[in-house]
Amino acid sequence: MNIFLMKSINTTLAVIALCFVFVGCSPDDGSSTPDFDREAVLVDQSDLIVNNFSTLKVATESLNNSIIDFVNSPTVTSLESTRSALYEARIAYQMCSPYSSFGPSNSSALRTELNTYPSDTSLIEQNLSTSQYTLGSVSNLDAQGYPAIEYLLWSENSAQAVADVFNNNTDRGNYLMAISNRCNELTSSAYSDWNSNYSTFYKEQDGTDVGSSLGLLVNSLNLDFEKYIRDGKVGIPLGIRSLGNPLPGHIEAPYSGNSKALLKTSLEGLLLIIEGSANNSPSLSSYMDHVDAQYNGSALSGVIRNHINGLINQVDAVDRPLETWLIEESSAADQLYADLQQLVIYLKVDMTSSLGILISYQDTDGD
Amino acid sequence: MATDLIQKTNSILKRSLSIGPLVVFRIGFGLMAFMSLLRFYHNGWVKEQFLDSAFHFKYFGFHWVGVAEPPVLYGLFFLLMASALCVALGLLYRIAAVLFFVLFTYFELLDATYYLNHYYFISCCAFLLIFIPAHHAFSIDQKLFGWKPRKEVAAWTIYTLRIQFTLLYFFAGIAKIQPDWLLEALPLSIWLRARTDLPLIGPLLDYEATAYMMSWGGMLFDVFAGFLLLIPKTRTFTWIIAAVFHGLTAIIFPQIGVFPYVMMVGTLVYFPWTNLTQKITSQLSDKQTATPALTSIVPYVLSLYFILQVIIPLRHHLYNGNLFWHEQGFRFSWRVMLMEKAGYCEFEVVDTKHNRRTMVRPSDHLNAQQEKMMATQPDLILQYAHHLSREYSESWQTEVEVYAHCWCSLNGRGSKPYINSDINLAKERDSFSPKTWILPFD
Repeated sequence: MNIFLMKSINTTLAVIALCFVFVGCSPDDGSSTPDFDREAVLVDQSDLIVNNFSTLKVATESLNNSIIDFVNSPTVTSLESTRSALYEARIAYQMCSPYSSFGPSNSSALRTELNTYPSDTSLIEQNLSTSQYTLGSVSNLDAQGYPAIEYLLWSENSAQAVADVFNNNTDRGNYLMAISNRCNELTSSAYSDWNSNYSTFYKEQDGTDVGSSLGLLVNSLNLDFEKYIRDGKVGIPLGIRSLGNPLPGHIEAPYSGNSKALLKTSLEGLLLIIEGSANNSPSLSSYMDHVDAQYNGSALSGVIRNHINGLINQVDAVDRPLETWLIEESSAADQLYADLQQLVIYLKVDMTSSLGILISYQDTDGD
Repeated sequence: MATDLIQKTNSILKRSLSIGPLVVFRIGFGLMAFMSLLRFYHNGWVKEQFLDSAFHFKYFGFHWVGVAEPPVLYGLFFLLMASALCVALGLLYRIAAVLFFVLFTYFELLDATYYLNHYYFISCCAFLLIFIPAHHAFSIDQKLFGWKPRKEVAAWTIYTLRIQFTLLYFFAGIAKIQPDWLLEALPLSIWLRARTDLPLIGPLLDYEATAYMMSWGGMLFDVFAGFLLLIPKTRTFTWIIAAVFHGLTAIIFPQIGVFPYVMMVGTLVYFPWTNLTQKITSQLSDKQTATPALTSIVPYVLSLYFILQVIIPLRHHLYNGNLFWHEQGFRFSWRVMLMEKAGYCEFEVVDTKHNRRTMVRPSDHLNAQQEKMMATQPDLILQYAHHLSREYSESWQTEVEVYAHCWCSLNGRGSKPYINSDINLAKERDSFSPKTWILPFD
């Protein structure tokens, strides 16, 4: 009995002490860490995201104007400027893709509307000749968006030939304008949604559960990286889902040869969202440092930064169209895929776990 | 001597106690279970957990439990909710208790992804309620069948529930006596820092010291609470501490669901509640108390049950290596909120005969929770590998090999390879013997 009572007193003291902590006596020991302002991370991210969507909106608008000019007078010159406007818009899109699974992008299905590839070229040809189509319907997603615009701008072997088919066939121009206009509307509304209400909402949800902004962002960029960067841009063309047979036609930009640039930009965009908008701005990276996230004895934030920079260097070294390089330099390509895979693990396992971010609404009692 | 002890125990178990604790428990447990099911339904989890997924992870030995057709499944769920209410009201109590136990356990067995210690605990309590005459006072049955209310029941009927709770606390407590929990305050230091957005207490959660105090406090509380609740002198105080403790976990870890409430309500069974039964005029003829009598099969069933309740949480000692890593003997052991574990898993399906191979991304076929749970639990990884083996063998019309490429991180220590990716999991069988294809933690 005595020992029970003693133990009970011990327990009681411990629990009382615990309660006191919560009532408000701050412990002043040396090991305490400075407060981390998660909201500041959200403010920085929100500014970055609004900025990215603004760039996307402007670039897509100018693409749309350029397309109108080109359709009105299809020349090699107007084609060339339209092609470079498409490049700019697609580059801008890479910076917005990580936010596809929540908020305005999610509600307007931005990714599938704007960037479903490979395009179904026969469906595009059928649509433009019959004019019987509904943009945004599930069956039409691979006949619209940037990849479909690319197909139309490169549908013939030479620039002159492309200008000629547009001169000879107004259906082509009408369809091009229609799909470009849809891109324009969608990016414009995504920007205004972010710029008005959603950024305020985003800054306020400063927890780590699945509905919090960090939860939304991290889960969204994990999905984006695994499925749309690692697999979409590299793995699938490399043949990982097709019994090892490469599928060069499944590359993101097969006609323009811009796939390498798009891949590189997507990696830079990922680094930016992890590191924050400027040096030392509050970010996922500084948050990882705050909680002292480690990988093999080094700071996890540094490991991730170096790894992404390594990936960017690998992509930089690609000296021909990405889809050709993936086939011709198979050992370097396998290495690139393996390193992309390693980043999935860093992001999905190490980063998510160290930040205590939840991945679903379901009840769980400790993993 | 031995017979003396048996007789003594027998008389302790058979002596009469107020039926109060059983009545309070029956009502509290039934209502709480009902609310919990209502919340489950309201969150859309019947659909999300059981109907939306094409694949379900099963418990060892229970692969035969399948998801019923949607109308039947919803029907069963409503029946389960009704049975919880009937238990609370004491309406057709025995039937309701059996129904509740069977149906609740059925829904639990549908997918091992959603294993929760407290759902298992609810099944345990429901099983015990079947044998307990908790409906002999303050019940509809007693009015319905014109029974005289019973003031007292045999002590063993109350003890079984108390022992169940004490075992839970004790095993939950000794599970916390390990280096990560006590010396590194892991995983609490990871989790608490993620909750600094909470009002009032949020800022305190950023301190290392808070994580240590909660780790030690939690361990001491769990180890001793179950015993201190048994002792009259310490009972009320311990229950208040328990309410505070469980209340805090409910605030800090909302993802734990109804567990804190199960404990707050359930531990009321430790109180004697004699005042509750004072108004009942003692029925002398009913003094022979509880049904069923101790001479029936019930004591054997319950003895076996409690022997298992002690063995099961200890079975992990049969396996070498880090329990949190390999998770062999992990479930059904009251290991709650003990580790931060995350993993990533991909599968490679190979047809050596025709030199075909493909990578399978589980997130395409599993929901986020299923994917997360599978990636950190080897028996689920094996189940998924077998599933892929069946699927691809059929579609490729040949025998295939399945290799898992998995990485896992435990308590923020950094991701490490988890499963031996040179071993064809299609050929491995699940069993209680050690899984040699799990890579060691150290």
